[in-house]
Amino acid sequence: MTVNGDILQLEDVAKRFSVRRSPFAPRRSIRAVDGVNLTVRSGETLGLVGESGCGKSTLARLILKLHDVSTGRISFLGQQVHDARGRNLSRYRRQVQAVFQDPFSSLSPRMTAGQIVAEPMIVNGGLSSRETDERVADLFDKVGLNPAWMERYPHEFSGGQRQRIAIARGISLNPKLLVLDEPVSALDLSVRAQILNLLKDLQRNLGLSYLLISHDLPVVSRICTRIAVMYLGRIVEIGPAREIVANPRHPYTKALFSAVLPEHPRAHHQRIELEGEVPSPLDIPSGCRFRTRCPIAVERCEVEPPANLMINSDHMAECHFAIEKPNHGGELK
Amino acid sequence: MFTRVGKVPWIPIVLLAPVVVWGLFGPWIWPHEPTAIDFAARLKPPVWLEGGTANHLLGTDQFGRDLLSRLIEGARVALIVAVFGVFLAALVGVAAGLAAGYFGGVTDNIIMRIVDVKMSVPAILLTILIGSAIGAGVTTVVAAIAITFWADYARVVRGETLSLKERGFVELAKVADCSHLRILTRHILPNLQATIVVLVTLQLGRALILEAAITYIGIGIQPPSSAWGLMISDGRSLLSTAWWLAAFPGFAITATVLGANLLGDWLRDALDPKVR
Repeated sequence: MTVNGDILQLEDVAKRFSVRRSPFAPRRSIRAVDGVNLTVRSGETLGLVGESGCGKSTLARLILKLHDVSTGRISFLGQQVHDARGRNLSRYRRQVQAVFQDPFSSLSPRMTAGQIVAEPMIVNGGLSSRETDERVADLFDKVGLNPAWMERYPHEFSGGQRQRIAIARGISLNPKLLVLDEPVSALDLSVRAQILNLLKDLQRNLGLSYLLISHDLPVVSRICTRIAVMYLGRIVEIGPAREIVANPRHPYTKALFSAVLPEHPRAHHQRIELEGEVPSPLDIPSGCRFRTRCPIAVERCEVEPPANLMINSDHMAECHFAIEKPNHGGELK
Repeated sequence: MFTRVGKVPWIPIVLLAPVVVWGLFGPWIWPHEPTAIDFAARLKPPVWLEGGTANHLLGTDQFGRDLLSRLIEGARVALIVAVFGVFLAALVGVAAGLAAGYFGGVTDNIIMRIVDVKMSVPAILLTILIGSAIGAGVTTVVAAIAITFWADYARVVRGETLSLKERGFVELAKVADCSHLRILTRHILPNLQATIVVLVTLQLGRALILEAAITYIGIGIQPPSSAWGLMISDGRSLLSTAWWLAAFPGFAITATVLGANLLGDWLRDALDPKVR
């Protein structure tokens, strides 16, 4: 599949949730996603990584229109979709589908596997019931399931098979983009590789683009075209997968990838350990949001939020020192 | 779906058969006219006791009316009251609970405040209110049961809906562009089936008891027609001399309530694709 053009574009997207700790406390807002710029290109796999609670899943839900954005714009193939309603929303939803992490809760227990896969086609209409049946059988075949199992209920399948059903449903409308929210992290190691290979094959055959959300770095670095690293609601570094793995520029990315065990136990491996906890999204630090845990933070980081620093046309990092080394002469914090 | 469970639920069938058969075919099978008074045969004991006659299998009351025939007539009232009252309550309560849980926000607040208000007014007070508004009778009992019980469904269904709507398959249904109606009827309601079936069967029992209470305070079924609750309250004063007058309607209520509960258990399993 050739890469040509962006299909999904996020501009300065933010999502705030308003919370109240006790009935008398004032309302405060959690900035779950805080000014994200992101594009998904046609035919690519964009990996989105970050710790739990960094806003990756919220971002996915914004893209899937399960939440509405607080501010910012989302456009799909040039059409603005973040405020789409009615027919425009339906048209958008036909083209963007999802596969979730837990294959045990993402399939309705009271529907047969065939009904689950057929549902998006039934809802969108246009096919006779015979055509739908044929298409379901075809989809079962595509994802490596026996079409004779259409009448079975989800609990009769294993985790990997359930995820195959979920994928079959996801691709049933021939979407352009599939949002994969931790698609393999609930599966056994041996099954993971099979599902990842299936996803790769489908991408090649159907020309799909993937947004892969995961905290499994080896998986992400193996199958993604580009990787975006998220911290406290913002993309702090984004670039081609090979560059991000081999030459990360943001200290957070460095720490994240240094936590992955090397393939050989005796290989040279230096771990960067981060101190402290992720700050609460209720209380995002001034300046650079990573400075409270950053090993190279200086005074400047406290007052001046880092601008998007382009390392090259395709690689961005939000750190003052993404290119230059920090000047540690005297002004070290 | 029923074919998945091979076992026939014999115990609930045996327990519920009398009320259903009696209720539907009463006039053809009762041995005497239930209201026929025969002072010559007052307070006869059941046939197997000394002084009992085969003419009155379960004995007679203080007016010489045949107890078995009155039980059979009472079954019809029990059937009407339980079925219509409980299903009306379930219909209203489930719809309210689904709407409250699924849509949340203002809808939820309005519905749940009505539930709270309903919960804070004693059932018997409401019943008296209905009774004085539309007069005593079967309709009053059905209305009273529906109004008393709907809030239970609303609360339980709302709670379950709240947790179901966070599940992946409901979110994926939205992603697949399903309408709210389709999500509610295809994704949420089927998963509430077990809860609703169990609640309905429990309520059937409670409805019979409420019916007895309403009848007891005089705004339910009116004499001379009979209802099990009425028979118990009438027989109460004669308990020391003619225990059968209160005991047999009591047995009838117990058997029916037990049968309904057991049927509920069986239905819950029979409707669950996971249990074979």
